[in-house]
Order: sequence, then C-alpha cells, then structure tokens
Amino acid sequence: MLASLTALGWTFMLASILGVTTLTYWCFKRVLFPPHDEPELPGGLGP
Amino acid sequence: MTNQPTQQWGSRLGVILAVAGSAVGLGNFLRFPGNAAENGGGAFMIPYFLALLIVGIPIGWAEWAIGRYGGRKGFHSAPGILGIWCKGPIGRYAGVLGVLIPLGVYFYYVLIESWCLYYFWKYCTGGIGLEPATDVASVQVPHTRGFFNEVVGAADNGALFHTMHPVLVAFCLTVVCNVWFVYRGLSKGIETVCKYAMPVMAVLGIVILIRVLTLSAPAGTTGQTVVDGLGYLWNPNFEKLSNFKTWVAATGQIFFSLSVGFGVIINYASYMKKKDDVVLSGLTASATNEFFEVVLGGLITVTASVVFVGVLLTSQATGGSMSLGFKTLPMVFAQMPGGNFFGAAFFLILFLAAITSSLSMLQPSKAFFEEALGIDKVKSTTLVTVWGLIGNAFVLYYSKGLTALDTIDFWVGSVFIMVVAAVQIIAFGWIFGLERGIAEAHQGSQLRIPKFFQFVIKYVSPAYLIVIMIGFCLNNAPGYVDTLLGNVTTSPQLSVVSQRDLAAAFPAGSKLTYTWKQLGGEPVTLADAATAKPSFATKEPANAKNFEVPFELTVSDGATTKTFPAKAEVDVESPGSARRTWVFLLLTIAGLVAITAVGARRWKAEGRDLDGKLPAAD
Repeated sequence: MLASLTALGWTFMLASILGVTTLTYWCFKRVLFPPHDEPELPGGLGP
Repeated sequence: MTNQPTQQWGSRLGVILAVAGSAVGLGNFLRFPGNAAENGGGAFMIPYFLALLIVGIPIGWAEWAIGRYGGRKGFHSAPGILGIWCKGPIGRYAGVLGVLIPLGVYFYYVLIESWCLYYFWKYCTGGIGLEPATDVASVQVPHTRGFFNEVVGAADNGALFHTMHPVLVAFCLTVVCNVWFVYRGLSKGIETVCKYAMPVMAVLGIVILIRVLTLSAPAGTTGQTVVDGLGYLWNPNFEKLSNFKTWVAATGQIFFSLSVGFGVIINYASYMKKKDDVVLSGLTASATNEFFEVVLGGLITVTASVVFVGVLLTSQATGGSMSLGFKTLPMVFAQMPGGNFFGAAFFLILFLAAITSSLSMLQPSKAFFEEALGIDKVKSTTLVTVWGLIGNAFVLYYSKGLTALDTIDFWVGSVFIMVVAAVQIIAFGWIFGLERGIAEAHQGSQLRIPKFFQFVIKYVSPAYLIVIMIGFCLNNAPGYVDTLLGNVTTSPQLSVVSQRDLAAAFPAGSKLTYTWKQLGGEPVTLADAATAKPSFATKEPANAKNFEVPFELTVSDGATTKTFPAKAEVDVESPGSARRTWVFLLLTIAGLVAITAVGARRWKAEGRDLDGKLPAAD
C-alpha cells in the first residue's frame, strides 16, 4: 500500500503552491494596478 | 527594407499572456508531475525552484531585453537580433537555431495538438470506447494503448494515410487554425487567442482540480485515496538529491517549461516599445507558467491516476508526458463519474495549451522570412505554412515507433534550446556587457533587477547552464547517437498483467533474485542479466524488419519462486528513421542558413546595423 501524504509532503506541497500562487498574484497586481507614484527607473542605452 | 507597417502588441497584458501562453503547454500538465514523482517528489522542488531562480528567470529577463533592443534596431528575428548582440556573423548564424527551434518543434508539436483535438472530439461524442469496471490491466490497458497507437500511426510508416484515419481531419483543422491566427498578426491573432484561451484554461483547470480533490475510487478498484495520490507525488525522498540526474531533470523541466532559448521571447519582445516594461512582464509570464505547472499540473493528473488506476500504471507513465496524457488518463476518465465531460474538458485544456504554444512557433519564422527576404505577410505566411506542412507531413508519414518525432524533440526541442540560451546569456552578460544589458532591461521598467541577479546573470547562470547541458547530454545523448550509428539496445518487458502479478506476489521491499531465460530467436547476450532490467545490443541488419525475442523471467525471494513470460521488441528500423530525420533537419538548417546569408546582404545594402556598431534608434 502506498504511503499517505506525510507532514513533510504537506509542507513541500503547500509551500510550493502558496509560493507560486502568491508570486503570480503579486505580479498581476503590479501589472494591472501599477502604483501611481512609482518613479521611472533610470536606465536605457539612449539613442 | 520592406514597407510594411511595423506590428505591435495591443496591450501589455496581451504580450504577457502571449509569452505565458507560449510557455504553458503539454509539459506543464503531463511532464512536470511525472518528472517530480520520479525524481524525489517534494524534494524535487528544491533543485526545481533553485533552477527557476538562477536559470529560468535571469535568462528570461535577458531574452526580453535582447529582443526589445533588437526591435529598436528594426530586427524581429533571432539571426538579426543576435548578430547585433554578439557583434558579428557568429551570433547571426547561431541565431539560425533561434528560427530552427520553433519551426522544428512545430513540425511535430502540431501533430500532438491534433491528437488533443481528436481526443476532445471523441470525449464530446461518447468517449474512446472504454467501459468502466472492466479489469484495468488486462482489458483497459491494451485498449487504451491500441487506440493511441492507431491515432499516432505507430504500427507502420504511412499508417495514418493508408487507413485515412480521422485524426487527419483534426490535423487539418489544427493547421488551418494556426495559419489563420498567425496570418491575422500579433495583436488580432496571437494576442486575441491568448487573451481568451489563458483564462479559459485557468478556469477549466480549477474546475477539474476541485473535482480531482473530491474524488473517491469506486469500490473494488485501487483502494487509494486522493491524499495517497498527493503523497505519491509530494512526499519528499531526499536521497534523490544526491543523484546528479535529479538536478538535470529539475533544471531541464524549468528550462523547457519556460521556453527560454526557444527563439520565441526574443521575437515577441522585439515588437515592444522602448518604454515598455520587460522586467515585471518577464517575471509575470514566468510566474503564470509556474502557476499552471505547480498548482494545476502538480495536483491534477498524477493524483487522479493513482486513485483510479494505481501506482503501477501511474509510475509506468511518468517517464514521458504523452504516456500519462494519452495512455493512462483515458482509463481514469473511464472509471470516473461524469468521465466523458471531464475527459473533454481536460483535452480541451491540453488543446488550448498546445495552440497558444504552436502559434508562437510560427511567428518567429514568419518574421524571419519577411525581414530576410523582404516579402509581405501573405508571402511569408504562405512560405511558413508550406515549410511547416512539409515538416508535418514528414513526421506524420514516418510515424512508426514515433522515431522521427522523438528525434526532432530531443535534438531540436532539447539540446539546441540549451545552446541558444547559452549564446543569449553569454551575449547579454559578457559580449554586450552586463552593465549595458541591465541598463537596457531597466529602460521603462517597473521593477529593478536585484543586484543579486546581476551577479547570477554574469557568472552563475552561464556556468550552471553549461554544467547542466553537459550533464543532460551525457545522460541522454549516447542512446540517440547509438541509434544513429545503428546500434539498438533493447530490454525485455513484462506485460502489465505480469507486472501486477509480480507486485502482488512479493511484498514491497523484498530482496529478489531475477533469472532471465531466452525462449527463442537468435541467441542474444544479456547485460545486467541478474537484474530486473537487463538489456542486449543488436547491430542494425540491412533491410531488416522489427522482431520480437521471447523470454521467461523467474523471480524468487528465497521462500517463493514465480515465473513470468516476457518479450523484447527489437526496433531495428529506428536507426534508419533517425538518420532520415537528421537528413531532413540538415536540409532545413541549410535552407535557413542560406536565407540568413541573403538577409545579411540585403541588410548591408540597406545600410542597416548588422553587427551592433550603430546607435539604437528610438
């Protein structure tokens, strides 16, 4: 018989899923609702 | 220079979803869970996320920045853009791989896409003929595998054309869809499809996920629960971390899943404006791909498979993505209440995931033909369609044992991708210069690349990538090279019924002895003859046909002795198919190199910046 999900298994699964979901949510939030007072970052190669 | 209007993305979300759509494919739902289960379960996530941080995201950022800068110089193809970043013809001709990869992968990927459409259609019209509650090992396994082999024409070269199999209709529809949306252009075609397909995929995926997490196996089947299924995939086995293959598998999964080095991001980013953000956009596309892979891919397929068909059949399917999707999951849908609905929904997800990827494979070639040959979009679409169809026809016809598909998938879809990614990260960090590259990436960016990543891009990513590339080739290439040289290695196999009986006869963890006896055919010499998986080598004979060698396996744990029939299917025709495929690939490469040479002459005559020596125009 197969071993059921262990405490470590739960930990790895939940940490992976929560980590990825949080990152995705944070990214889409920044893309769809950018902070208004965000200064433009310096950079670029210019002409 | 052609006088065509420059194409542009309609919105920022559109380009993110297009890149994410390109990355999210069959591998997210089928390859990832199998790979994780096979390589340490939860422990696999350690090298997996490490590879995401030091290879996937940094190379992705570099590719976005490289593409956007190339676009400002008026180039949209990898040869044009890498010529600038590598400051000369070496980069330009290495960039040919950036056109070959999406085109070569398209040759076979669109066939897999049409299998998904065909399975979707079958489930909409009553399923694939599997009855529930029949014996899985002796009835459902042969039926499902037989159905799949008929759909792909695995029995013989040209089998699909001889039988005029209805999957050819699905193939034609798939090609028409792809060509139509690519012809419509970036914003009206690819972007529109991805804007609808990605949310639909996410919603359908979540619906199926909820169904899977609330499953219970019918009485008398496997006796496994959903939590057991999750345990099979997620329980960590830390011993696997000491095996280099686990690290190669994890990095390979990240690499192929994110589509870095594929030649697509560089092309897509070239249509962005100077002030368009690339850092947050690149991170968002990667995160979206990870959501589909870890959350949906990591919870749905293997879990359902363990609950309904058990660990034995699930573990057999984890080696290749197609096995899990097309040979194992149909048995799950046959057992599951409402299986036809969920089967249709699942194969619709796979089809959408595949089409958002295949669309991205045609666009780089189309852009390349337009800028190298100076032709309009009608001619470039026609050229890419005809070239694609020739490749599709080649893979469709040489379908026996799927050798042609497998050969292109390994060399073009795996090895060459790593080479292009290595060229890109070296061009970004070393040839163009890290400071200039980072400054370019930060242009218009909403997010700054942390200093830590700048160090990673310069030193860690190239070194890690090269080590993994060597490891990947050492692990996998010898078999493919051997096949090309005409050496065929075969292992005798037990039937699924015998495997089930063997597992039932001996408790897990028993110390077993294996004795193999050849029952017929030309005598062969077994290597590792006292193990569960011996093998023997056969030199490819001229004009030979595939043949079988019967064996008998005796297994003993000291107290009990059991004998099982086995057979080895010797595929002596595969070397010929592999060599034929390589000739076809070399002709394709020669054609692309010739077009690049023509393009370089045109660009020079037009006074364009070929080698990155002129300032970028705004």
